[in-house]
Amino acid sequence: MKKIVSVILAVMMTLSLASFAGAESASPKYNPLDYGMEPFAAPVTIKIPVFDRARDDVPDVSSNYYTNWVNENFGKNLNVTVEFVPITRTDTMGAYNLLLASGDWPTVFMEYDWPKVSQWAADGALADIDVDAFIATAPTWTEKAGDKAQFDMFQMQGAQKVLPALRPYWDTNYTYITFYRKDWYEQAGIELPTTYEEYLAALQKFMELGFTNGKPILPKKAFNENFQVYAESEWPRNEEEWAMYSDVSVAPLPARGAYYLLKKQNLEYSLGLYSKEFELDSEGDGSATQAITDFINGEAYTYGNYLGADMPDLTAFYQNNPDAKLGVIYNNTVYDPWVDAWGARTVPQGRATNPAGMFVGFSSKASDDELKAAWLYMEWLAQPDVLFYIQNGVEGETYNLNADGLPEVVGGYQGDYWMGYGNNKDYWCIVVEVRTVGTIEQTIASIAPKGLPQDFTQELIDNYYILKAYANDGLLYVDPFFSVNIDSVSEYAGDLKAKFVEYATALVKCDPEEFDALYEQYVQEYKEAGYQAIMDERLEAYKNGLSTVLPDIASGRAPYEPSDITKVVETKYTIGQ
Amino acid sequence: MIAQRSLGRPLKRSFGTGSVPGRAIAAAAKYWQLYAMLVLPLAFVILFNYCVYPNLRIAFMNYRPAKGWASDWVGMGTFAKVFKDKDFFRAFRNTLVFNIADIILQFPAPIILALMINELRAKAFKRVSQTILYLPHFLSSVIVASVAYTLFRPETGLVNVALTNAGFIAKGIPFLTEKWHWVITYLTINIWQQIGWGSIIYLAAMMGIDPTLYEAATVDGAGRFKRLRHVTLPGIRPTIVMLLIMRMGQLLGSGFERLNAFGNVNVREFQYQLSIYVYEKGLGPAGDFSRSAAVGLFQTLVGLVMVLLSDRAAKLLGEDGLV
Amino acid sequence: MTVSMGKRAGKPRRRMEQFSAADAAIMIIIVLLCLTCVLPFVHVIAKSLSSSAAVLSKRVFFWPEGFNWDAYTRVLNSSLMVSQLGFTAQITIAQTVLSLVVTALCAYPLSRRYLPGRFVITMIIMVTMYFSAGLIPTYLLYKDIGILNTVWALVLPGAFSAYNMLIMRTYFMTSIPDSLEESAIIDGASHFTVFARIWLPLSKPVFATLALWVAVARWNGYADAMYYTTKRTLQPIQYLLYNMILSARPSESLSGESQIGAALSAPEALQCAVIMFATVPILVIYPFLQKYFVKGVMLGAVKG
Repeated sequence: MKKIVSVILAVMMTLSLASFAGAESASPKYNPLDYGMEPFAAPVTIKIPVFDRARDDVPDVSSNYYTNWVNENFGKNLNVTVEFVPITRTDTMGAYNLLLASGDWPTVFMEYDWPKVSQWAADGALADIDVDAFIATAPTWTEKAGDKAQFDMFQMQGAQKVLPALRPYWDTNYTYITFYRKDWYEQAGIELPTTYEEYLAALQKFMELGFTNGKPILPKKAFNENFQVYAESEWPRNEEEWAMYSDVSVAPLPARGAYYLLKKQNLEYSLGLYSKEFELDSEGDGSATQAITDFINGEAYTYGNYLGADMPDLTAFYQNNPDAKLGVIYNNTVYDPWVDAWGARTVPQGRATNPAGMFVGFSSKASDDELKAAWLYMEWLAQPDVLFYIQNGVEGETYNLNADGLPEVVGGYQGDYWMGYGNNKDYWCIVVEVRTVGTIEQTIASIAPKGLPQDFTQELIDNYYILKAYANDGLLYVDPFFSVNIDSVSEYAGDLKAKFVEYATALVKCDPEEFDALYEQYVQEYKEAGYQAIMDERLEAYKNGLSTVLPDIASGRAPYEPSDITKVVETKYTIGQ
Repeated sequence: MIAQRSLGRPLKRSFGTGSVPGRAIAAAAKYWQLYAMLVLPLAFVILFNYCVYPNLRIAFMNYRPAKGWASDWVGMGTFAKVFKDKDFFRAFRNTLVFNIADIILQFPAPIILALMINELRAKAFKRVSQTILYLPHFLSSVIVASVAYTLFRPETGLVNVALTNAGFIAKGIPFLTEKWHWVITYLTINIWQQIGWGSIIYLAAMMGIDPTLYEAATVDGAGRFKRLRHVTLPGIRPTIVMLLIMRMGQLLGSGFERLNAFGNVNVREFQYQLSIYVYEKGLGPAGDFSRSAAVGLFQTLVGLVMVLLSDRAAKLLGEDGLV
Repeated sequence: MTVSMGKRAGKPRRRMEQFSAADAAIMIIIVLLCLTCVLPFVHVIAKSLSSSAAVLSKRVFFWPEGFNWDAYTRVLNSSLMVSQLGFTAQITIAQTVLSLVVTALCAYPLSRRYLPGRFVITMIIMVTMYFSAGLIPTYLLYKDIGILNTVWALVLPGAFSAYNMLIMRTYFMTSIPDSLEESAIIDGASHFTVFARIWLPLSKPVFATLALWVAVARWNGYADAMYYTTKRTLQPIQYLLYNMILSARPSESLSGESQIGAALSAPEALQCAVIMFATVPILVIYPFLQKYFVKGVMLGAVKG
């Protein structure tokens, strides 16, 4: 009896809510049927990869409120089960290889790095995408990402193997920010440096004054294979060298820029600015580096990280150092007076981020229904209401609306609607790479760190425009995209990775007198261990016209003429890192 | 192999007559319970050992995970690649040198400790010290390595801090972060970890020595060292030879967990051994299953040859041997 | 080679000698050795109980400074840490029990000298001690039988070891008189009964030894988790520890990715607390079971 009553009550409640929702036209829609999607006749299961970042401060990546929400709304209504497959972030290829080897293929493959997707394609893991069918199934996703022409740009090996997800404002890398201790200059009574020598002198002065309690002042991290030398390269870029060397998965040790950068770090190391054990200071699971700890304790000069409304490191920093003042190092990726000192280049240049977010491919073993379900999943997530929900969660719990009606994240929330890493980023990255709200100013305002004694919003917006100006001048550009798989990269990148870390560490730590000889020796060994093959193959592919080229503007213009805004900026903020 | 001697030759005790199949049927009928007990263990052995052997064919293929067993056959191509691979030679050299160093340095340590413990008279002291000395054997390599880093980091490690504070050194000694220091530290910690445990077997052998030999030696006026040389050492000689043979059989062995836990970027020149090679080339970033499998096969074959050679050598020396 | 376990009885020579300089030297050496076993852990414990500030300023040696339990509280509040401790305990128990069952089932028949075919079967098993196929073929097998990335890859393969089987078989053959079996068989008992009623109760020491070996190996191991699994929920505590403290991973700022947020700092005190968490179970059981460890070594030394 009781049961019947409760059922009736439930039905009535649902009905009344439904009618209420119907009346309220602005109420969000999460049901895929509302978007004209049709349920599958037979049950379909799709497996979607999700990064497992080995963190303790996020819910279980494959089973939490939002994964359930996906299945409740998208899955149930379409007769689809969405399984989330954890992928170890620090060993993506290893994790995918394990899935491939165990026959437990995900329906979707996604990666940021072109060489990785290129290898999947070469191995036959990826299906050829029927672009027209995809666009017909997922028009909203397509519109977000661009159009068919945009897709065409990312064809490889003679077919459309992956689709590029949207990365807004990709050309500026504005979300990574380096902060420095502004108050130390005031305390020491010295001006901001304008040359590398002044910069080094300032750092040494700070150490002498005991600001770091005897600790090394620069928080140097352990090396990994992602070693960018754009800023240290000559200008105008030699396009062949750029094509040979620029690859996130293999460090370009023989490049001239690598020589300059390592030599600079060797000098800084020999001056005692780095920890003597910096190479041991890698980020283990759930623990930060000593470098970050030192900064939080007020004993290091800089701190760099991606922006977020909730930046626990900065919060902790101000708790320990309530009187400290931080500044933003403008255009940190592009301007470094050091390189001028070496005569390597005379312009600020740097690496933009990828022009796309995730490269999304589909398993060559997926059935038609599975493919369709995966496409529908992407289309569903791309719907504004759905995307808003998964990016922001529940109002009053995980976010609040600010005066402009834009969502602001509630920091440190770990309740029932606890969100995954970076506001569920690893779920919605299949649609878009960065969470944006309104204009770029509003977006930056929303991700500027909140709840701190200092407000960085304006400085961060300035930083964006500075970078934007450089980008417009063709100074920020990316690695070449090859339309063929560079087999030697697949073959040797793994070996070279460990070698590079070993060599680079030794080079930074060696006696400055021995640096040049050691560098020559390591370059030789590095080439023999496979890098020569990579250089040759990449160069050949480039010469055969199988790669993208540098933006015209960059290759055609030398010497560099800064546009007005960058001139202003360079005279105003010149501080190296 | 080991089993041969103790088997005796009892097989025919119950079955003196009858044809071979007849005997088999009779045995099955009589001992079916015993055979039934063997089903599960044999299933384990067959599944987890014998079923693996066919997969060795991967060493003759160019295996790609996405293609699976449909990958291309390359014959000896993989081995050709391995023997041209500088990393392989580095790993091979390190494995060999470390094992030889280990045999020279670590092998005698437990014998010396056992001799010392054997000389101890205070029973309580002996018992407590043994308990403590056996302990490191039971700690995982991760724990030992973690503690070692806590002690030996150049700037923050206890030992270096203490030495610096005391004014003995101006800057930290890179015990674990410079390759030559690392070799010594690594081998020393290995000795430290195994010395107590390794001594047990020698102590047991010493207990087996006939006490009257000592009495006779004492009566003959032999001092402590003479007794040690003429009674104790000869008494444990078979144990030493036996363990040495077994150790020689692992000349190309290299434990992954320990090396991996102790590794860091500064010491790869020496830390890079075959087990690391097999892991990194196979399951690590290189993802080259075939090359890794080829080296694994090489390692096993060399190990097998070494066991047989050591066994033969032992027999030539008049010892029992393994087989 | 055979080690017989002689009694300590009768070493009369000792009564006659004085405590000499050599004795003192030996005692000092052994005390020093023991200190190297104890002091590092005293240091780790001291650090784990000290304030972060004291640890960072390198003031902590063998006594905590700024005593507090924060590090332990944080470990206990970490759901991952607690769940993986539990997981490790579960797989350790499961593997130990399974191992004893399978090993005993194998060792008993093979210890019966009269069993036809026993030599061949023993050989089949012993080949596996000397010929292992290596990591990659094993990995592919696990893939084929579907235990890759499951808990079974951590429990099943390690459950049977030829070496442990030989030890148990030796024990069955040498420490229990065969006459017990003969009389029972004459009384009409089946082999099962003899095994269960006579051999098992008399074999406690060898069971204890092997149980400990298997359990300690499982508790301490991490390579298999590294090889065969990728899921966080399948990480034994040692692997967790390895990832937290030792692994030289690249930092997360890989290419092309925008991130938000950062990890909270984990000072050394926390790492020390984690080390203690992974060590304490061993420290607790170890002194009680030491005598079994020793017995096992003896059995292992008694060749086949």
